[in-house]
Amino acid sequence: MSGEHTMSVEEPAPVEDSAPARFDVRDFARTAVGSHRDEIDLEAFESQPLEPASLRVLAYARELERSTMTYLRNVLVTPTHKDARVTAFLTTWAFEKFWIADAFDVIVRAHGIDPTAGPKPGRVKAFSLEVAERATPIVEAFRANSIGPDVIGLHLSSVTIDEWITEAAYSRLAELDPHPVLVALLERVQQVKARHRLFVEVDARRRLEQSPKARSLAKRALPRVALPIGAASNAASETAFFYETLVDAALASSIDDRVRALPSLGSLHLVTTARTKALSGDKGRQNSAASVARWIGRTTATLTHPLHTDSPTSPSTRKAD
Amino acid sequence: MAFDIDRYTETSQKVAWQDLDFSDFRTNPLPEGTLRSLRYMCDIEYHTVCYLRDMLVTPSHKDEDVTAFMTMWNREEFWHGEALAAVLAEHDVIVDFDELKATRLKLGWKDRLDPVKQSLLGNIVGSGFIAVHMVWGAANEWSAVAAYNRLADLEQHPVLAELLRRIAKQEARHVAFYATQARERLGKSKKAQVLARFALKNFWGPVGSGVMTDDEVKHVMGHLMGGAEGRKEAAKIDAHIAKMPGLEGLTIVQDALTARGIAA
Repeated sequence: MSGEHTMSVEEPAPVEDSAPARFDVRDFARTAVGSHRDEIDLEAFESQPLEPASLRVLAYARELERSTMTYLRNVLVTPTHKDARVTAFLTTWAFEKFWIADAFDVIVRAHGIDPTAGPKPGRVKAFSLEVAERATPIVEAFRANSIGPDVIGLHLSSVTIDEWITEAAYSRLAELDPHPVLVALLERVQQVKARHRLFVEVDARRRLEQSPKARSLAKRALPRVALPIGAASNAASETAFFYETLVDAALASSIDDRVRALPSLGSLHLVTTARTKALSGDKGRQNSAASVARWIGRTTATLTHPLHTDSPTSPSTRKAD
Repeated sequence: MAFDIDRYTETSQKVAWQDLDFSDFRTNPLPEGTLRSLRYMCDIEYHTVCYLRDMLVTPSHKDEDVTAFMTMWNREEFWHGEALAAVLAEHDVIVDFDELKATRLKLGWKDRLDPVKQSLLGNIVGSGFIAVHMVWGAANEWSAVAAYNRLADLEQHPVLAELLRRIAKQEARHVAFYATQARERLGKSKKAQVLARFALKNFWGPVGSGVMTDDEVKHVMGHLMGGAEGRKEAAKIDAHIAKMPGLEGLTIVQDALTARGIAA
């Protein structure tokens, strides 16, 4: 890969200025972007293949974009599922991301590589994932239902930050491997993602601004979200390669600046932390057993915590919705 | 026959109605009882995401084919909601997201704990539980196909009938997915058969029961499955379910009608 070419995929711009007063979810659903297959000239890769590193990050990005159902699994057991406007958005969001994943899938396969055959999470990580997967929706349901609708602010913030990371990463990928077919696809993908942000970024900001409880929850819980979303279910080596290749320290820090500009999140360094953790590689894997133990401890704490502090029927849990 | 998931996702579309002359509803409006049933169906389609949630809390969320299907299915059902909302709008019945939210909020604690219960149960029995979800989904989709076709026959309104047939056609593809999955998974596991039989016999209710009020459920069941013809349709759905491995003799749809006092 070489980084000397001019960037042809625009860096994501903040959406506040151009955002309409209220995102039209129905219009978004009506104009959803489906399959990209017809727009991808796969034959072009025969004479001019992509760099091996590009294929590896595309295979990883495929998994990230394809992880919506796992994400929805944790989101929908919370009061977020009650908000029909949010679920209408998430329905189309998942559809569009499915086809982004599909586009990456066909490109990697056109190079004779099965994108799903890459490294899987290690045994210890797989075990901790299994434990977490079995318990996460239960914990989420108990915890979030006792918190109430403020949890929507957390969910939309995490999607916003995830979009910032992947958009920045795809811009970087287009710089590093400016294959015309890849660049054209990434441009289309960025447009799709920019529209997602029109909803999640504006709505997340609004919810955080309106509710002190949503702010404190986001501040407390965002550091526990694995970034990018979907990283937790993939091999640590691939997350490390993603950060190593596409998100350098400066880029991570610039995304963190955007996170810190969200209401009350001024003290967070989420992306830098996620990057450092991913790049610490082997050390991180050795600590997996310890992280399982920590997770169990934290889970126990959160299960008992709401019983003492948050009453599910208290008016303060409802007013911000 | 295996369900071709790639073909399904590639051909998944939002149901079209822009080519239909909806202004016809202004000159030939639908009767009150039909609008009430349509409203019910519209709400249920929009609430699909709540069912999606119940599906995802079990290990099914890790299966690539299942997640591909769920993504498209959820979106197609959302569009059925939009299409039916457009019909209702021609009758000045406006369905908006805030109102749907109010319905979901009314579900209260039972609904809040359901995914927890499902997840506990689902995880205890592991992947065998996916079979239960699949056969449950199949029963619901068979019901949907029958309901849409039946309403089209009953109403004989050309524009409505065309729309409902289009929706039913998509529902039939959902049936194909669920039924294929269910048959395969039930066929492989005696435990799954026992569990599915138990779950359907004891917990299954007509689509929408638990979300809509009993009055509404009764109205729709009576409207679409009442009388000799309606009962015949219900028996057909039961026959499909009873053909699944280990589910011989189940008559859950007819039982649900009887339990609600819907005369045959």
